[in-house]
Amino acid sequence: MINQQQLTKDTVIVQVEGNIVSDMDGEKVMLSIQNGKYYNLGEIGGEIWQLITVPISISNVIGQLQAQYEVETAECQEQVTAFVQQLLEEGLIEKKHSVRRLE
Amino acid sequence: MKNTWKKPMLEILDVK
Repeated sequence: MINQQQLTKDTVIVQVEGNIVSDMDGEKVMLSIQNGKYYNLGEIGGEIWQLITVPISISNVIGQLQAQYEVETAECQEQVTAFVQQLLEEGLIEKKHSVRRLE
Repeated sequence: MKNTWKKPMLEILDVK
């Protein structure tokens, strides 16, 4: 199932239920019960996976990663958004409402 | 001291 949806930094995402996750040598490996596929999330992907156990905006994920890792905002935003898009297309996460900012 | 950044990648494992 392809789940092509536009993501912005205000998009709120969260894990879907039904995934078995294990730590292997510092990387997260996961089995999706829904589609029967195995995934390697890697080290940073595993960090992102931990952050989205509860609904969280992509900008919030980026902010927390930047607090831990040496990375420019633009690079982090581009790579995290692409990774999240992959998770979405694989049906591993779902979008919640986007955060609306009051100006 | 912050950790070194690595591009996050989602690898689909073929588990023959």
